Amino acid sequence: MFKQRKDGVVMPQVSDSKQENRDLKGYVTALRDLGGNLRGYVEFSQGLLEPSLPVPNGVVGRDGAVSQMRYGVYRNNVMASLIDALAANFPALHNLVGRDYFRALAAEFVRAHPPEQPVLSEFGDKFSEFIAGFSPLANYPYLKDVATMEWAWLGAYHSADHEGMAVDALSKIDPELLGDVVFTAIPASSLVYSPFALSEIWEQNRSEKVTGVMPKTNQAILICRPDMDVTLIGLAQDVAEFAELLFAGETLGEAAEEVSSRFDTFDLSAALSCLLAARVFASVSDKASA
Amino acid sequence: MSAQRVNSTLPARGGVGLKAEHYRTILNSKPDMGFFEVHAENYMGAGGPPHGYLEAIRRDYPLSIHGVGLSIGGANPLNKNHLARLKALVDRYDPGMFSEHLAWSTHDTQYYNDLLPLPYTDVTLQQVVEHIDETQTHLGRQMLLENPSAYVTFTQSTYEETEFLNEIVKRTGCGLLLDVNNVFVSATNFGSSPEGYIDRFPVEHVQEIHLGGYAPDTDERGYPLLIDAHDRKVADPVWALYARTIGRTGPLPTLIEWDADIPTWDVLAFEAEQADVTMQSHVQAEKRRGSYASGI
Repeated sequence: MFKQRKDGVVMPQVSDSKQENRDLKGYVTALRDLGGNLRGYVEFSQGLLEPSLPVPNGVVGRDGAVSQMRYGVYRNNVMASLIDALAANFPALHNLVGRDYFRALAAEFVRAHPPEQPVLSEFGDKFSEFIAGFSPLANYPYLKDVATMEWAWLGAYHSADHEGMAVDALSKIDPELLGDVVFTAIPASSLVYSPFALSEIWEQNRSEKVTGVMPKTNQAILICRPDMDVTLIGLAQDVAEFAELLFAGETLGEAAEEVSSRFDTFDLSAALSCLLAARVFASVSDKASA
Repeated sequence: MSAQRVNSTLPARGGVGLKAEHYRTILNSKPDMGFFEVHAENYMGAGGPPHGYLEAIRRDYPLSIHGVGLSIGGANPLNKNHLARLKALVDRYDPGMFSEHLAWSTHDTQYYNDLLPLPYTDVTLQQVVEHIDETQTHLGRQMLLENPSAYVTFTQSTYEETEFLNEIVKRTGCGLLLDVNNVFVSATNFGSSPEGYIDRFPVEHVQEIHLGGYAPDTDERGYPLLIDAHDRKVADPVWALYARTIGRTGPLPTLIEWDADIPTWDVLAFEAEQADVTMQSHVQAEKRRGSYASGI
C-alpha cells in the first residue's frame, strides 16, 4: 500500500487502474492516515519541552485514561537527561553556580537550543554565548569564559589522536628555508583568552593543573592533547599570538615578524621551543614544497 | 589490529554495560566477564580516551554496540550523517551484535534524548521496516531490534507489540533483543501479564537479552508506574521472568544495564554472575530431564 520515495517520504501507492474508484478511496484513506500519523509525532514532540501543553491526542495510560503523570515521565526524561548531559560537559560551571542554579539555567538553554543530533558530547556549543547573553548572570562575566574553556577542553578530549611531530622535525629542514616553513596543528588544539584568572578557577573546579605562564589577568591558555590526557598551558600573550598566526597557516618568518612588531620583547626561539615542547604541531613543511 | 582481538561472537553468558568509572578496574584486573556493551553515541568522537579504553577492552572481550539515537521509529527519514558515524564505529570495533530500539528520539531537527513510544499501525510498521532495511543495508549486517518500556499507549494502535515486532522481523530479517525488564515495566504499567507477553514473544528471533533495574512510582490514579531507570539492581520479579524467558529461549547473551548511580565494579559483576547462574541451572535442569540438545 505504501512505498518510500527516494527522499525518504512514504507515499501511498496507487495500483490497478481497473479498480480506480476503490483505489481512489484507498488513496484518500492512506493520505489521511499518513497525515494523522505525522500530526501524532508533531504533537508528542512539541509537548516534551513545553509543560503547559496538554497530553497529546490519543496518548493514554492504563485503561485508556489520559494521564498527565505518564506523559510527564517522557517530559522529565527528556529535560533531565539533556540537563545531565550539559552538567557532564560543563562540570566547572556546574560547581560554580551550584546544582539548582545550573539545572534552571540549563533548562532555559535546552528550550532555546535543543540538540539537533544524538551525540551529546557535542551538545552545548552555544552554551557560552547563551550565558554571555543571560542577564541574571551579567555580574559574573567570567562564567562565559569558563564555559568557552570547558567547550575547548571537550573538543580536545574527543578530537582525533595525534602525538605531535617529532621534536627534531625542524632540524631536518634546510636552515635557509626556515623562514618559509608552515605548520599544521594537531586536531586537539585550541587557544582560549580571558581577561580573568581562568587558570585559578579551573584548578579549583576541575582539579586539573594549568602549567606555564599565569598572570592574574589577561590569560591565554593553550589546550591540547598530544597524549591521552588534555594538557593546559598558560602562554605569554606574545607566544599565544604567535601560535595563533602559525595555526592560521602563516609562515614562521611572517608570524615572527608580525609578533615582533607588536611586542618588543618577543623571543622567537623561546616561543618556538615552548610550542614544540607542548607537541601542538602535527607537521612542518617548507612552503615551496607544501 | 583485529588480529590481536578475541573473537567478536557474544557468548551465551552474562555481560555488563561498559562505564567509564570501571575502565581502569577492567584493564587492571581482567575480570572474567562474558562481554561488554556500549552505547554507540558515547563513542562517536574521533579519538581520545573513550576510544583508547574501548580499543584496549575490545582486545580482551567481545563487544555489543547498542544504539540509542537512530530514531528507527520516527516519522522522518534517518539522519544520514548519524548513520555514517554508526557505520564507522561498527567497522572499527567489529561488535558481535548491533542493536537499536523500537522507539524514536528525533523529530524534525530536534533530538530529544529519550526512547519515545510510537503507535503500532500499518503506517508506522512501514516506517520502521524502511528504517531497519536502510540501517541493515548501510551497515552491511543484521541488526537486533529491542522491545521498548512504555508509560503510555496510543488509541490508534491496531497491532499488539509482540505482533508488531514479529511482522517487522518477517519483513526485514532483523533479529530481536528482548529486554525482560522492559516487559515487566510495561506490563505492570498497563496491568497486563508479563508472563503472557513472554509466552507470546517470537523467541526464535531473540539473539540477546537485556536486564536492568526499575524505579517504582504511582500514577495519579494510584496505579503502579514503573520507570525504566537503570539505576539499581535487577528486581526479583524480573529475575523470575528472566528464568521463564531462558526456559523458552535457552541460554543467550544477557546484558545487565546500569546507567545511573553506577555501582562499584563488584556489585555490577555480581548481577552478571546471577544471569550466568540462572542460565546454568536451566541447562542443568534440561540435562536432568534428558531433553537438552547441545547446539541449541
